[in-house]
Amino acid sequence: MRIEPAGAGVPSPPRWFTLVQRWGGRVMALLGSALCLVALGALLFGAGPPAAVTLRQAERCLQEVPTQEASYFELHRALHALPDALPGSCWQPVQLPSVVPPLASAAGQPALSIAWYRFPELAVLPRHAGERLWFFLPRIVGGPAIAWVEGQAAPDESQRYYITASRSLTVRVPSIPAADEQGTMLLLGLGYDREYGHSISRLKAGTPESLAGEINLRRFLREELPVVSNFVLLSLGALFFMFWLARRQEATHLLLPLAGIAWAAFNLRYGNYGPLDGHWYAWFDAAVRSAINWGMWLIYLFVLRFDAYRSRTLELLLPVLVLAITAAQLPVFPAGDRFDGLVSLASASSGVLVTGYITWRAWASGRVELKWISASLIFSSACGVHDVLMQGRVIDPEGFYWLPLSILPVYGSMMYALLRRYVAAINAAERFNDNLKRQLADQSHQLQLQHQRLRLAENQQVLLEERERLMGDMHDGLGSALTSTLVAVEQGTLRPEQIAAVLRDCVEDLRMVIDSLEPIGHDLELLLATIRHRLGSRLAAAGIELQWHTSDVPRLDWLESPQALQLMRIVQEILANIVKHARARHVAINVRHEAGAGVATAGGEAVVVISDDGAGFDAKSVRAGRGLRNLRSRSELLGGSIRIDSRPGAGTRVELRLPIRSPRRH
Amino acid sequence: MIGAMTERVPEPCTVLIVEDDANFRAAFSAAIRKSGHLQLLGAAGDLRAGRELLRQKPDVLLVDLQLPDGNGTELIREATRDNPDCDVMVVTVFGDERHVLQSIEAGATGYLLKDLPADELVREIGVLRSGGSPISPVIARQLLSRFALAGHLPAEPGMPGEAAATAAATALAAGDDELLSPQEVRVLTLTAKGYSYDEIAGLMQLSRHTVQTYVKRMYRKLHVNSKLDAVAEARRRRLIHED
Repeated sequence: MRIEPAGAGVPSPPRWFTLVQRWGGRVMALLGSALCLVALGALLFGAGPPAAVTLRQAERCLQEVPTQEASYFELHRALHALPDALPGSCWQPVQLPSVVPPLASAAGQPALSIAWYRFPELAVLPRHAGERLWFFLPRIVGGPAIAWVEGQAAPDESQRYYITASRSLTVRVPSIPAADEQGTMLLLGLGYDREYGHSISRLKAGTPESLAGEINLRRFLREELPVVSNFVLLSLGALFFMFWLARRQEATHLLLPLAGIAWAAFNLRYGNYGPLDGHWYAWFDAAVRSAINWGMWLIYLFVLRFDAYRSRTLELLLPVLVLAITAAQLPVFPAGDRFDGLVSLASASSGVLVTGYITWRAWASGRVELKWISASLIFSSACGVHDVLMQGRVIDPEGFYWLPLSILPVYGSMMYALLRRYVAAINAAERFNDNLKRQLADQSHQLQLQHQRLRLAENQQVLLEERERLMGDMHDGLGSALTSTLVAVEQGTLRPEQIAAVLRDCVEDLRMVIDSLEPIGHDLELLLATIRHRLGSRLAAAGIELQWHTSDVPRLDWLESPQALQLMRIVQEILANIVKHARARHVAINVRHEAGAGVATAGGEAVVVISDDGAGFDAKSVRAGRGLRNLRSRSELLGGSIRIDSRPGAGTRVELRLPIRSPRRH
Repeated sequence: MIGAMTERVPEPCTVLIVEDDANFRAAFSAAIRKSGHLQLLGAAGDLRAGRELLRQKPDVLLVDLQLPDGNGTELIREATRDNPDCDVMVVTVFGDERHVLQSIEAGATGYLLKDLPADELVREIGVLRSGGSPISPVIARQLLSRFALAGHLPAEPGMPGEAAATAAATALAAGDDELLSPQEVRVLTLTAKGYSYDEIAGLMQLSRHTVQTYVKRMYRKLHVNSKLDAVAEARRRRLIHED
């Protein structure tokens, strides 16, 4: 039979379970990641056949909108009027993508225009029967747009585009019943402000299936990712806010939610939100655009405070800079828009500078958290520079803004820094606890040692008391008996037999003292046996037959040698009385253990019964009374009781009851 | 009773007394001279004189432990080593456990209380010569625990007498010559519970004399054990080198 190890009551789980427990999570994570990658790949490259056609050639006609005030309503009206009136000479061929740079106009002059685009290449693109046709412009920058397809207006999905918005544009042409060799005519009108200019990307034409992949990816990166990242920023921000609520003294933790809010506000910029009213929109736009500076400032502040070495100058300088940039963006300045490029440049370059400083600090301090943060900030600065350049139409007219993406690694690295700090704090607390435990163990060890010393001292005290007791005993018993005998011998008043009797008594008493010091080990039976061994011959000499009966009695925990001597003297006195007065022929000594109901003390009682068939006595007589009182007080000293039944002529029965466990000791 | 015992002594035996107290020496010498069948070989007052007289190989040696020039146990060892048939009785005032067990380990098989009346002294020598030994309850209890320890058994202090004795008997009745027989264990147990030789004889359906010989045999075993223990201890301390 196999012996199970201790504590093997619960069967160990099967091997497969352990394997699943150990590897299951990793396998699931791998599978999940693989699935995500596949989904992303399908989204990116899943534009099935047939491939869309990309058009790089277009003709453009710029039309001024004749309005007194720069009103968007006029612009809309002009867009919806069929542009028959456009002179043929107006059309100029352009290479796509095309950027029309801002033009300064005379103050007070309306600057709204429409750029019309047509695409001659489409004429040679035949259409099949029942085939749907989509046009897709990955990125246009400008105001509201309209697409005229075969003389039918297909307006922009939303009117809620502002004059500076950048977006993609999709035009969905319904299927035609019969094949068309002539191709499809597309006329695109894009309202814009000359002071801003506009830009247009290449045109893509194809079936919805061929374009869906790119359209979805664009939408995800441009519109959904900022929303998702806002959700992440605000949730984590809420978490850190609650953390700050719980621990107000750590103000650093408040910087994270504030930065998250600022970034989320900035991200609104990419979602085409805001009031339709132009005046309020200008304020909204200013607020949203300056939010990035506040967000970055809060992040820099977090990093600067996280660093052990704090640069006060930078901490003071940064808010001043941020305030200046914000003020410059406010729409209170009539030509505020024109600062835009400058302001973005200032914001991006200051970001680059601070990032440079933080990177230097990170490598100087060697702290891995700071290194990660600075790496993410470098990435973020690169994104910012890219966006500024793109906004200034210097690069990448078909790209999209990267800044909304860059906040996630920045936030991630900051959380990593905080987590490292928490983990370090928890580890420190654990080490501290371990130290405390060790100290506690040390202290309890010291206490034990002290306890041992105390016990040693107590033992010495016990020895001292033992000595006192023996001294007292010798003084009162043997000492006084011997000296009084000595005096009597010197006076010549004692006969030799009397002297012998006194000396015999003395020796007997001395033997009893010695016996009480023998190793009886709390054993009442052994104690009584020793008394019998000593006194048995005397009973026999007196012609008394002893009947001895013992049954097992538990050890009496209080029965040390002082108590043994007391007990011996009690029994000796009882036996001596029998020998001297009772004229008995038989004495029975009976020892037993009584426990359970009716016995007062826990652990029960030892009962010693000494009975004789002698003359008995009248318990009311004075002499008997004194002897009984003496016996009773000695028994009570031991925590026991004594009961004596006797009548003249009917023998005597002495019952001594002793507790097994001393109540005084517990 | 006395007559019954003396009848058991077949031939006269020689007695040597080593005792520093002149009174006791004189009283013992007188008692032995008066006995008729015991022959006093000599009475010495110290260890040196005792050794001299020991060369004459007494049958019985009465020896006190406290001697002016040394401990009586040395003499006991020499006597039992040189003459295994020699019966040694230690003379003590109290018959206390420490003195008696020490002497038994050295080779004594009996002990005498110094204030014993002369006739009882002679009778005790007779009992010893015929193979019996005296014992007290405390010594019986000590023997039980000594043998339990010698058998490498844990002493069980919490056990009540009878149960402990049964356990000891089972453990000790291993058949080894150095261990106790169940009968012997029972004798010790009953003694420790206060029963007299006669009562034990009755309970065990033996003669009183047999019970007394059990005791003497146990004393011999304790002596042998203690010698073995001494050898083992010496070997452990590399005092004796094995060939």
